[in-house]
Amino acid sequence: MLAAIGMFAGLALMLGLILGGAAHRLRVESNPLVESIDALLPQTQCGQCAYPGCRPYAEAIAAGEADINQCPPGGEDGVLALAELLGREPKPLNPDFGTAPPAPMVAFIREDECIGCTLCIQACPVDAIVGANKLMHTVIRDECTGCELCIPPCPVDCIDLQELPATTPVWAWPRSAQEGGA
Amino acid sequence: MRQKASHDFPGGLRLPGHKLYGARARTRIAPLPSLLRLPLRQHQGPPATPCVKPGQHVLRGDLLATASTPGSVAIHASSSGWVRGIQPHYLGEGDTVDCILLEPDQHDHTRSQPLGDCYTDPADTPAAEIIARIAAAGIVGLGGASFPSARKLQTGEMQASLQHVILNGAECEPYISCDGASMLEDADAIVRGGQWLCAASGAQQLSIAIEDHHSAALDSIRTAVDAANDRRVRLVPVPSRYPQGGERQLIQSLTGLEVPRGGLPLDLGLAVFNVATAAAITEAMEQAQPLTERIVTVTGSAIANPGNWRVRLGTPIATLIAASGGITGADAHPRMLMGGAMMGIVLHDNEVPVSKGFNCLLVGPTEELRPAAASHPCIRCGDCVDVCPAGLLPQQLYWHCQAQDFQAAADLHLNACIECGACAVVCPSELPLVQYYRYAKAELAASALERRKAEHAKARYTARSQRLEREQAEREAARQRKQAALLAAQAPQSAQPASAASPAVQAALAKARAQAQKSTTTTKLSPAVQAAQERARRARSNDSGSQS
Repeated sequence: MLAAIGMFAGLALMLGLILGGAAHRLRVESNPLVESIDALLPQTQCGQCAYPGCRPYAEAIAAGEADINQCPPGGEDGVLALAELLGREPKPLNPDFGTAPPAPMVAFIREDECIGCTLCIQACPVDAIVGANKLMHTVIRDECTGCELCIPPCPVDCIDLQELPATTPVWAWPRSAQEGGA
Repeated sequence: MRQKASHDFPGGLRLPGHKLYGARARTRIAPLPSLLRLPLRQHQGPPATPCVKPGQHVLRGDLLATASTPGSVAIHASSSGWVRGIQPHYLGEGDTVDCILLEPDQHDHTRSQPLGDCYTDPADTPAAEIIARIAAAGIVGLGGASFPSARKLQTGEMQASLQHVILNGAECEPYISCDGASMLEDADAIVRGGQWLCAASGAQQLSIAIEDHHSAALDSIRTAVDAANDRRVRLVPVPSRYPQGGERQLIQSLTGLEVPRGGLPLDLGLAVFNVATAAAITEAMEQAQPLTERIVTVTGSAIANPGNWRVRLGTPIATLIAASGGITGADAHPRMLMGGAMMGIVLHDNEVPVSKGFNCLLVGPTEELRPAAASHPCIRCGDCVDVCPAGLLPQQLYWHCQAQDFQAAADLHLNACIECGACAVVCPSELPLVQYYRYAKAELAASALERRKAEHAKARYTARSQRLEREQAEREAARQRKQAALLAAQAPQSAQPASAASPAVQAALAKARAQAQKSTTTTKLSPAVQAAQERARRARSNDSGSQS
């Protein structure tokens, strides 16, 4: 009887030590859930979700502080993907945070009107605007995510959002012959 | 040497040929139009960079646009005339490309040897020179896919070697007969082109594959092969079954090997070139002439006088239709397809220019060439599975594409679909299957592109955040250094121990001292420095505020 108790106590202690050691050694630095949520977000860093960037929003979702329908650039597809990942009920986009853009957009600076104040450069989360003080600025089209963050700071309102034109690499076949008329 | 193909590919189907044979297949020279439109992208890859100015007079063969970026292909003037500018023009498939406008002077002068010296012997020419010449001549696959030919031969960067070059004369798609015409008229150039390709790649084997029912082409090429007297060359008749001319299907018929999914024929040491491409390579090597014309089949029941034409690149299809006797039949606006009846792309504009990959113009009444508009539900008969040459499950793919479950379709290897259309032809419910697959492929490509863009934006955002943090830390460090220096200067003078004073008091002292110094010195501080000091002071008072 005593031997059995001793044996199991010893076994429990040993396994406990192994588990404790493993938990310590194999500890994951960041929350893997945050990583996988972040991977589904569009990374525009636009802040429309009321968090200062995609990663903070991912952290808030993981912590249960934010809902999954606060990301307008991600659109319905983004909400569906998040619902799938988190095993939650999909829901429509919350209009309080904005509506999904109909097409991919990029910012465009009307260069004649730009006064070179650099405010938009400071606002751009992905460094997609080049220019210098009192010199005309311009948007690097390929880097712009269309987050609109450069528009409010502009003192002369010379920034427009333009629809990204369809080029051969991004042109898509219509869904079926009936719809496409092709 | 002749031997039958010993293997076969799965699926496929026999289709009525609707081809031009014998005398009707002979080529005619297409008339020069009043304006040539040369698209800057007539190949797979980034567009070429123009290198001519409006108003400049060029001769046939002169370089109009260079392949400045890797993967791009040069464009040459296809007749003599004046460059009139650049204009975007529609090329079919939702595709609008900038085109160089060339107004022919109708004299059609050709530059003599625009590419340099003529080579004569494949065995005596270094491989690198042959590949460079093929690239300089702007040669792409003339079978329709328009892949740059030189890139198929640049095996060094892929760390692979070619053992076997296949010339594809299996023109399996109904209506198209331009390769057939090429084999009848340019047989010697085709075999010679194969030898140049072997010399460029170091391949020890050259197979020329022709469909077994095309006896005239077989005879013509056989004569040329016998004349060449090269032990590496063999002529292989392959079964006449659609899609025999598909690259993967042809390889399977000839070698019994399957090109791995997502892989290239190069993985098996193989490269497939169209027969007309081989003829163009011979011309580039032996006459030093770039690719400026190709053979186009103009056919279909709405064409009065169908035939094969040798067409200068950039010629609008309206010129070809007019040269072929114009449109006949009840339908004044018949359907126009670029390519054959199976894989052709609808054109909505008869000013579309002939580009390097334009093999056939098919014009027919709408009801003949258009799949039935009303399709019925899938009855799961499985006929599509039997004919799929890629070994896919077309009906499963259809279900997933219809349900917009693209990932499930991708898991069933949607991207291995060659869009041959065999499944749609046999479908008793007349479902536009290929249309669904193309749509799903485009959606998959779009979401992959979106993902890549998001990754890129994230990387840039992270880099920016790190930079801002670093700058902040640097400013903080500089401020602390300055404060320490001030404290050190203050310590010997003051009887009060520095550590006893609160930071706010120290700052005030420092400010007073600095002002005293400033009043004694004549140095004036610039407004920027003053502003910086002001900021630093504010930061300091904030710090002390948070500490208290």
